[in-house]
Amino acid sequence: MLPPSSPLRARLSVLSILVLVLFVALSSRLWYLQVLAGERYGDLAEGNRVRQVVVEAPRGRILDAKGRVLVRNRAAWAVTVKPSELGDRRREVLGRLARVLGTTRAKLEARIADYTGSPLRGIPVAEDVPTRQLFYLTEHADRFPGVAPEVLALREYPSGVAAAHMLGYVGEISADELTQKRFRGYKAGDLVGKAGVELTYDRWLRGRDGVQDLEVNAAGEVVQALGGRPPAPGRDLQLTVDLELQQSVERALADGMRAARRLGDSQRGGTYPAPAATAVVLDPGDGDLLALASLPQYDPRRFVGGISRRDFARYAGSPGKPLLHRAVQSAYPPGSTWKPFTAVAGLEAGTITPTSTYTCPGSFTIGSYTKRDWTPRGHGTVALGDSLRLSCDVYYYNLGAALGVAERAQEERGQKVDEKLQATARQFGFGRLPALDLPYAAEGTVPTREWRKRFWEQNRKTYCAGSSELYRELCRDGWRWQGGDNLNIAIGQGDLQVSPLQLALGYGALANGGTVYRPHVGRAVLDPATGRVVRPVTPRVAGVAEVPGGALAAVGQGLASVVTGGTAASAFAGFPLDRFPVAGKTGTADLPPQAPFAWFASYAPVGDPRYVVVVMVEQGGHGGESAAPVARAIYQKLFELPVTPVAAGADRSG
Amino acid sequence: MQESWGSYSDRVSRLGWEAASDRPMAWRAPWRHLDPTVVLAAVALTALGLLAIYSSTFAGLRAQGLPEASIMRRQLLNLGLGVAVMVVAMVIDYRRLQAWAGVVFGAVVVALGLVLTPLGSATNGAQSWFELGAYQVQPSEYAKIGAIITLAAVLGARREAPGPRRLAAALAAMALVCVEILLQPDFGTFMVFVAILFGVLLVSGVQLRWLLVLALVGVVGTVGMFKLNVLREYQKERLTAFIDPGADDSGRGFTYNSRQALIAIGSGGVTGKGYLRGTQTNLQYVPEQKTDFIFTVIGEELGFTGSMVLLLLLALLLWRGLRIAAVARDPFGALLAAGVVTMLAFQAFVNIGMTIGIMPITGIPLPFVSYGGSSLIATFLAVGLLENVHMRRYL
Repeated sequence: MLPPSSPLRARLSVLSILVLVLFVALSSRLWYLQVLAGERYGDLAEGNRVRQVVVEAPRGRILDAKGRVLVRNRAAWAVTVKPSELGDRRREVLGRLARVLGTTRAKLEARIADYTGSPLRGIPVAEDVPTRQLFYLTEHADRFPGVAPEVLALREYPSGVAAAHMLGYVGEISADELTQKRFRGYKAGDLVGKAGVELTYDRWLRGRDGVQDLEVNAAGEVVQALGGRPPAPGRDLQLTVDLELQQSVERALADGMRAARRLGDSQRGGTYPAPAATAVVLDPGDGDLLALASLPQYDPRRFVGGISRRDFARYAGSPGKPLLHRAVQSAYPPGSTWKPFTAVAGLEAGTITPTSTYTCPGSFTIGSYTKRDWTPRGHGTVALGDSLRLSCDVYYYNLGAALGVAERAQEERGQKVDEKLQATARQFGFGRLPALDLPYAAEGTVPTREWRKRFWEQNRKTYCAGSSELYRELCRDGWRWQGGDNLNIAIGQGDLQVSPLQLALGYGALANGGTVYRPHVGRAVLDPATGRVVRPVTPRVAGVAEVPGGALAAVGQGLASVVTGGTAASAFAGFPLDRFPVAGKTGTADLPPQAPFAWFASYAPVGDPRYVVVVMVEQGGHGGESAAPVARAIYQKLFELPVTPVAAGADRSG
Repeated sequence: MQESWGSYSDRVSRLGWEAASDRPMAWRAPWRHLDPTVVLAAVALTALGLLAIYSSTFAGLRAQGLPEASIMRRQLLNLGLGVAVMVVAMVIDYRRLQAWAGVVFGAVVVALGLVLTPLGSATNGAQSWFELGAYQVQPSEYAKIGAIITLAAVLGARREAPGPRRLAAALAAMALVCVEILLQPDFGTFMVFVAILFGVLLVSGVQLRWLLVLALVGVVGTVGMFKLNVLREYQKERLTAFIDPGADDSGRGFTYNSRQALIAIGSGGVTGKGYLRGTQTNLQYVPEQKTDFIFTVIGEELGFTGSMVLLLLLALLLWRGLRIAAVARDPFGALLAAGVVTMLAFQAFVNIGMTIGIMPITGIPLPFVSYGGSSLIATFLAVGLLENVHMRRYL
């Protein structure tokens, strides 16, 4: 045994101290790691172990009024390519992939170049790929870097292109949309509605994505599923629109356009071009839109899985503007379909009575300014009823001029000008954005003195820079409300513009005693599992036109006579008006240098109106010859009568 | 000081063995002086290792369709062999080793030389194995014990502190062995040899200035190895990654290993996630877990508590080892024990230190705990020598 005083003992003490120091170092570090920082490392371990995978919520379906499916989802196996992962093997990999998919490399490259979606996602280059090919790609994954099979939830349209504008389409959210308030809470790569009810009801349709927690090992293999939050599927949306009616309306419009194209244009020569047409079918009792058609329309199927650049360019560049929902998004001068509202203003103001008359020669002169009626022969002496039946312009020139005289007197007295024509128009919902569940609705224009001034101020520079006589006059006097302005508005021309939907709402108010409803295409949001109504879309009144009952009755009688013996009589020849009396007004709006726009606005049955039908054929000629026959076909469908082919009406009145 | 050594031998020479001691002859029978604490601590540590090995391998084995306990059972067999080797090492009087030290050293040099020839096999870039049938033998593990014996024999040959000649002889012997190790190359084992040399020199009573000079040479030598490309790229990377953890964070680098080890141990918390419940362990986030990173299993599943139990068992064993060095009857025995203690302490510190981010990553096993036959058997051989010194402290 070593003696206590041995130098080895002293040195052993040094070694002992060294060993002790090492152990103290280890223990204190372990204390820090496991006791003090243990929680942080626990989180890190959990982050290692658990991967979260987003489970996409299926988007809700869109149903028609009778529960027919307009839009639904379909799971499709697609092959996606991430070009960034192809690197310098792009040519080789795409060539190999093309052989597997039975296509060509050039076509795959074209699909990649056409892609407009998020760069974070794989670009789908083939959809509905057979399982055998998918298996091959999965098994030989090492030979196909950046290529992956993926399930895409695609929108499917069992009813084809019907109601395309109303339904809209979905696409990946854009960077711009992500900053909008409407899309708060959305994230990049989300599919959102881009148009139609897909956009306005997006919050209901989209559902909420779920999360699946997966336990993964170091190799990234899934060991087990740990639960998470299941996706909440989007709600179904039921529309007020009836698919059968919608299809029928679209057919009638197409027939009407074809018929108009065979009509000779006496003014411009040749036939009417009739490049587009639109129709609105509205329930005047609650604002339900039963059909809403706009031709030409796009094929929503082209937007499925992201529209290609080429297709989009073709739609955007087409002269027929198929992406435009004319019934809602366009405003036009209403022409003679406007006369009932002028008449109501006159009756309200006491300028006319239902029986008071104006002489109706072929023209009307105010100061140095002469306006012509649509027929140089004139109509003789007419009261309110005949003024509508025959669509006498001079009657309304007189009325507009008379109102103008009163307004001029107010101006001279320094009073506030009451602008009766415009006030009535606003009461019927014109010149205001209709509170509608479809996007990008047109506001239209009801020109007033104030509007005129504002417009002039905006365009003054242009006017005053011009050298022509007209521009010099506009520069000087453009702000001034002139006598001719009242005449123009009185017959629905000039700066007055309304959307077909607004006109339908106005006619609805004429039919129901003055109530302007908020129009809507959505009927209810449904629970997809049970079909139970989650949220009904209740009818709401946008405003009430306070018009004496006698005035509406008088106008109504006049409108009924238009169909029985007036400008729309030939179009409705043979229609059982005794059983289903229709009241309406033809219109022929001039928008030179284009051919006139044909209008027919109406409601039926008279006495108990259930439907408002407005038809407009762009550059389709006269209302009686091109628009009224389409309305007739729509009424045949509405009243469950045999639908006869749309033939041009004989009436060439204004 | 020399007096007391002398006085004891004087008593022996004057009175004979029997009379030199106050106690009866039978008391001096070696087996009576076995230190059970050392053996128990060694076996307890190995048992802890077996548990950890099972935990880190059962899931992978199950996935491969193999018996879940097969790797643990192999280690159990290694333990059996280790205990047998330990018993043999206890039976033979350690003092006879002093005479055979030259042979031991020769065997070490030859074995380490042979492993470099095509007879040896390579793993992880180091030519360090002999394939013997189904068994793999890593001569460098046994060479550590050989080096301890050699150093203790040279430096403890006489009672007085070693002079320049014995120091030179010890250094020369170690230099030869270290060159062979670095040729494999096995930087981790090389460091263990350097530590053993330092520990034995320290206890042998070599003048402190010699030690300082040696430490200086060591530092210069380390820098030189970096400069002269003695180290492989990956070894440099490991060392520099430790110094600057941000240098390589590209996924599966050395900091990946280090990071996953830290996460495993840290996430164990105070009481651990429960045996067989470690997610880092079961999902194989920690690489080389059953061997070099075995401590992460204990840290994760048994927490700070388990880590401390392991450290205390090691401390207990090392404390007994230091005591054995102190009570050894001769300098050879004392240096033998000191060498074993240094080896175990250094390996334990570097191994655990690398899993908790205070040491660079080197392939040094955790004594008793890491999976591996040669390491476990050689460690039990060392324990046997330790006991041997203790058992014969009165003879």
